[in-house]
Amino acid sequence: MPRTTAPSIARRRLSAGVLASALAAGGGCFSDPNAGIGAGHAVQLPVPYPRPSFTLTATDGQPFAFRERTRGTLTFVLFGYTHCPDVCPVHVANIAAAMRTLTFEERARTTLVFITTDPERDSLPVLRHWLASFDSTFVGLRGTPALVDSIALSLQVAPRMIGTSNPDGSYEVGHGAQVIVWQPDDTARVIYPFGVRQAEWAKDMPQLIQRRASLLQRITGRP
Amino acid sequence: MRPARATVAVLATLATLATLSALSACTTREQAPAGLRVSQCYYVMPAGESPAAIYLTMTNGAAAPDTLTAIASDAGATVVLHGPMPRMELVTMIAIAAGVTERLAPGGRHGMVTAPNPAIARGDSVTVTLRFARAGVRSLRAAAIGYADVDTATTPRG
Repeated sequence: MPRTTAPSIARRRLSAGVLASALAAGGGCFSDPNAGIGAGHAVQLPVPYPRPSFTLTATDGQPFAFRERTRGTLTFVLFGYTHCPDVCPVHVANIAAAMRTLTFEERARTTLVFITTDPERDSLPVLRHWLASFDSTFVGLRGTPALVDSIALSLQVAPRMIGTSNPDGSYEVGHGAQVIVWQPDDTARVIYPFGVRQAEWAKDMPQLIQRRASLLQRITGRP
Repeated sequence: MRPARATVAVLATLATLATLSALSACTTREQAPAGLRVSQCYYVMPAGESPAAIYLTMTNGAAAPDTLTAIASDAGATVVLHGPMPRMELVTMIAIAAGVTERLAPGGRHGMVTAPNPAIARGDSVTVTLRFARAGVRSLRAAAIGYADVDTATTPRG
């Protein structure tokens, strides 16, 4: 199993500080494409996340290098499991429905990545079949629990917690339920908790996709 | 279509299939005593090979508190009540104070239907049977919807 190369939090804070200073120095010279985002459920991250580097296995059985394969796209990432009867399928179905409202060009630059927290039951075919019931383009990733937990923790998402045992012997898997959104400039500035309605997703998505890498980012490679 | 399968199970009371079927057959929503009302009941078809969900609203218009003690459906093998994420602990009863509305809602307490009947299609209806300590057994039809329909059919917890 490939190992993750999780982003360094220290570097993230440093780069965010540099950017904050640059923006402060620039004053009103910059318009913020995210200005209209956050009226609903979106939570602004105090420290933006650069698009992380990690590699997991995709449902085609091939390694999927997240940063390289999703670079420059609007990317929705969430952790969950296919046996979840409530939060996971509602979240994914709502995002899928909102994506269908995008223009062809916007949709072509938008990706959803679902990382399973239940690799014991979520085999690659199971994951593929479940995701395809929402949208055949959605990416399903699988790795060892330790690797997935380390990726989750690096993104400040709660690690998995094997929880309730059901009377039929099945079990539930607790996990962080937020959706992290990387914008086309490879920076995540907002996360969305559970409870976002389709209309809110559809309203925010076209704004989220507008954010392209600034000259500063293209030079430094950092948010 | 009505699902042919009529296997039901009860979580808390361990009532038998015969007992519950007999009770549900003679108690309909129209005949039920006034006071406790169950509405907005939806059966959410599974994605892939996963369990299905049940969401509903229970309003206790009676002067006395009541308690949901069991839930079953002909849509699958059993209905298990879960608490909200992240723990999703098993819920064996739901107290409904007088004048209060309690819900099974997205992101909150919800019903999980195990071994859902794959023949059920969007637009079908299934039977959901609820047992209350005071109001007795209520049996109602729930529309089968997809997860993409949940957004317009229900309101998330919060």
